[in-house]
Amino acid sequence: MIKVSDVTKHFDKFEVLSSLSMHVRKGTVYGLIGPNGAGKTTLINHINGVLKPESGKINVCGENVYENEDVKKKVLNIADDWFYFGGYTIKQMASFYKDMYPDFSKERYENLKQVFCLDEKRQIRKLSKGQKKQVAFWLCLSCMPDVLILDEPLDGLDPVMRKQVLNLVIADVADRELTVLVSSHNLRELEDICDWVGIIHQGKIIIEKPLDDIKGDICKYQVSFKEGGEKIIESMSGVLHSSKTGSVYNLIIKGNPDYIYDTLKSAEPVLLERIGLTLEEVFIYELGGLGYDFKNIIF
Amino acid sequence: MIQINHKDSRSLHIQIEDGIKDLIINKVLAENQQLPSVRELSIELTVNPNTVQRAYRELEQSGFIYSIRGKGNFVSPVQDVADEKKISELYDSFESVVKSLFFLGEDEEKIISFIKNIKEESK
Amino acid sequence: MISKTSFFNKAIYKSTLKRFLWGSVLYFAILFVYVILNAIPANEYYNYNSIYHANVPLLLSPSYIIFPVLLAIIVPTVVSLLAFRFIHSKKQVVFIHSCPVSRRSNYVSTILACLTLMIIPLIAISLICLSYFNFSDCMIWLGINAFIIFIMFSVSVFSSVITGNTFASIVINVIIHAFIPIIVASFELMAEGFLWGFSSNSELWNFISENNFVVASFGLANNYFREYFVLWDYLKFSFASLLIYGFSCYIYIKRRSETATDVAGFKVLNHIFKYLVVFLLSLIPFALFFNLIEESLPAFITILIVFSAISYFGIEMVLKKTISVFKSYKGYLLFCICFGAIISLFAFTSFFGYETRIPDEQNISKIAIYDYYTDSEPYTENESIIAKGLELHHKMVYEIIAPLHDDYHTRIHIKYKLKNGKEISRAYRVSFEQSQEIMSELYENQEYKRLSRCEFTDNERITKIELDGERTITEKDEFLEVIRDDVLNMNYEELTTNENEYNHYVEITYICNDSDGEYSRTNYVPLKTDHIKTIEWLRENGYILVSQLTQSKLID
Repeated sequence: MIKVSDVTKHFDKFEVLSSLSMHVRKGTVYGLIGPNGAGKTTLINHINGVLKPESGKINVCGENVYENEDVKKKVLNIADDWFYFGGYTIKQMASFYKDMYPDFSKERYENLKQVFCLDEKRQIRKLSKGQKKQVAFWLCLSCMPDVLILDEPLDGLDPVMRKQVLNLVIADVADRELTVLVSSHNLRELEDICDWVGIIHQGKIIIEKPLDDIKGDICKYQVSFKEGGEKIIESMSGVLHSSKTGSVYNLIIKGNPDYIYDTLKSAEPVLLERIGLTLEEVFIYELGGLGYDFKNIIF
Repeated sequence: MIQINHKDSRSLHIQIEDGIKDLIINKVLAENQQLPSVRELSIELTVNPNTVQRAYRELEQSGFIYSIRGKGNFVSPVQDVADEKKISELYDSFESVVKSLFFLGEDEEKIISFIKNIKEESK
Repeated sequence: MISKTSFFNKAIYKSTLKRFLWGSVLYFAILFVYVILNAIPANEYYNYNSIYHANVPLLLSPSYIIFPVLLAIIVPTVVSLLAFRFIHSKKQVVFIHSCPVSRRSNYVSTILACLTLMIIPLIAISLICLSYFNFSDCMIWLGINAFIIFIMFSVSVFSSVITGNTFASIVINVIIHAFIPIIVASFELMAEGFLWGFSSNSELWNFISENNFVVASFGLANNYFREYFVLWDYLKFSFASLLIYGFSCYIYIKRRSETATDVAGFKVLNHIFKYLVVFLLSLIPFALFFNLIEESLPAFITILIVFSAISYFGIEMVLKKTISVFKSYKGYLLFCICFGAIISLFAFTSFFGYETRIPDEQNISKIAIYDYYTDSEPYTENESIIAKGLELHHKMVYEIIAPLHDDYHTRIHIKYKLKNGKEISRAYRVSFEQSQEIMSELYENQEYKRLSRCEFTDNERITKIELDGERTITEKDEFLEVIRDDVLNMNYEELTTNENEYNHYVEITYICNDSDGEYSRTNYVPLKTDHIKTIEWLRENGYILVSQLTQSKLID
């Protein structure tokens, strides 16, 4: 659905995107995660059709997206700082979207009005940050997009609204095979709804896999060895992190979980427990392995 | 009804599968009862529909549920598979207990005689 | 990648109209107050007729049209700044360009919406005017304002698409209109200071003013100048504007979105803008402190360096949005070298013999030599005048000591038409005394008087002679005979000094024929006590009563 091939982009001699490739499959929710400055927003702006790559291609729904009105009619974008015309009411902004996006559904708009409980005659600038976000979702979902691109979408929403908004998106994914690209630092929420994850670092997608595979690849092991058993750690590859609390080792190891479990078990530990990592922890350890430095993670 | 836990080492779709299996085993869901649609369940749990879809597919493959085109997914009238799972779980718990007993100094014979005693009493 | 995109987008058009409707209403309100509310009481005096305002439609009289025209020049700039914020603001750039609208239809829709917003108020005002003024006046008023809006907006749009922020847009907009006049004026200023005998090229200035949008706008506002506009002029400006609109569209399409908030829309333009503005600013010391060049050259150079340095580094700060720009001193040195080279060219080379060029007598076909007080160029083939002219020219080049730039001075013009078709034009800055000396020598030649004074125009070409602004002299031929007689007997001093004033004057209206075509001129000719025969004739024919003779110098 979204296919980015070898895209390169410089800003003032600084290479922001470096021959980047990415593939978002139809009907999936793709979480784009990466450190600050990795190029997320730039990449998203390319997929939106705002920026033109210096080299490479960006195809959405099979066609090049830049200056392509037909394709862009099906792609909607909610930036963290959603833009609205100053002085416009919700209704007026909806009218703009209606004129701009031919698939805009009045019925959906009315349905969502019940969900969000905001007066459509209010001026958008007078709403709170969270409410503005809600309006963004309200209007964008009413346009019945095929592709939805979200940049920090849930920032500013209260927990009830978060669930509400996520559920709306999920419903569309279920009903209409909506394709979603989400960029967020809130990995906790992402991991519920993403089925694919792409990690971007220094202008490249370094990992792009289904979420299950990523989480399956790295596990945390709490192990307490008998005398001399800890030697086995040194022989193992893929140990991303190792620390000790009392006599208990906390190991983060990347690799086939069953194989690693059996390997550790062969040292006849007193205590052996395998714990899954959250996406957040995966992010931290994967990138830690790539030199993205962090200190004092207590978990 | 089903809870998911992110600290769990099992992936989400497996948690959902297991959760449904439990409900079926514990007869919370009756035979031939309709399961919530993919859409409904994904919204309820706030998870990706594809995850729910995958869980349902696995459940169908392992015979716990069957689907009717255009209508939805239903609980299969299968008992023994459910029972087998239950047994396997109980053995896992038992293994934990046995290991702890060994650790505390109890030996094989003591545990075996313990089991025998229970058998005697239940007669 | 060629997609069939449209030229018009309803959403953009409607939203632009809606967002800036307030501006349109404001424009209407201001015009309403100015034109309509002024018109209501004035309408009672609609038939006001004076010698100077006869047949001038009230709606098109200066007081009614200057302000609207001024507005019509400024409003498009403001509108383009507002409407093209979607190029200048980072947030808007992302939003608008992620919408399914091609840049082309975005541009066209925005332009159309802006023009609608600016022209509807004009139409409304002119419709209201129909109740007070006649149909053709209202339509002309509407036409002038709409035309000005159309042409000025093209340049404003161009400025907006070529820059990245509002401030730069305004600066470039002003520079585009003013650039050529300023450059030419600056060169002329420097040439005048450095080249002895430099004469401003009026043809060039005519060309400039004929092709400058702002000058044309004010020209249209003036009833007199508007008469000179022909269909070609309207077409030429319209065509140029359309080209500018089209080119701006092309630039906008090629532009990268990420240049929002930068000064220039394209990297290469940053340098061009920088050097352009620094150059223009560095000309200011020449305008303000020209005298200093002669009085104290080191002081002038210091001022020049300080000015240009402040300009250069100031602009660098604006471009790079930071204070630490002194690393780019090399660019400044480059500028100094080039600028210095240009100045030196003027100052030291006498511009390839410009100053000392005096043509050979046998090459001259015609000469015109005249002072500030002579109206038109008195070209002649008369050999004695040519000889005299050459002699005086020689004197001015080699002998005269010119007054300082700021001291009172006047000019002597010398123009040659050579046999090979070329023309030479010079003007010399001389003091009043020096001018008088030179003109006196010329006036010793009667033929010269006949050439350069309007009293000697052919009788058929003289349409009216009026005394004191009140009485028309009907016996044209007789009067001309006597006044010509007197003039031939008077010398230059008598003709130009104030000491022998007679308190009466005549105005001679005649038909002129020169490079501008055929037109009517009126010259003011003060009578002197030395106009003996003229005064007598006037008295004899009852134009002047004896009792009006109040001069201290009595005549028998």
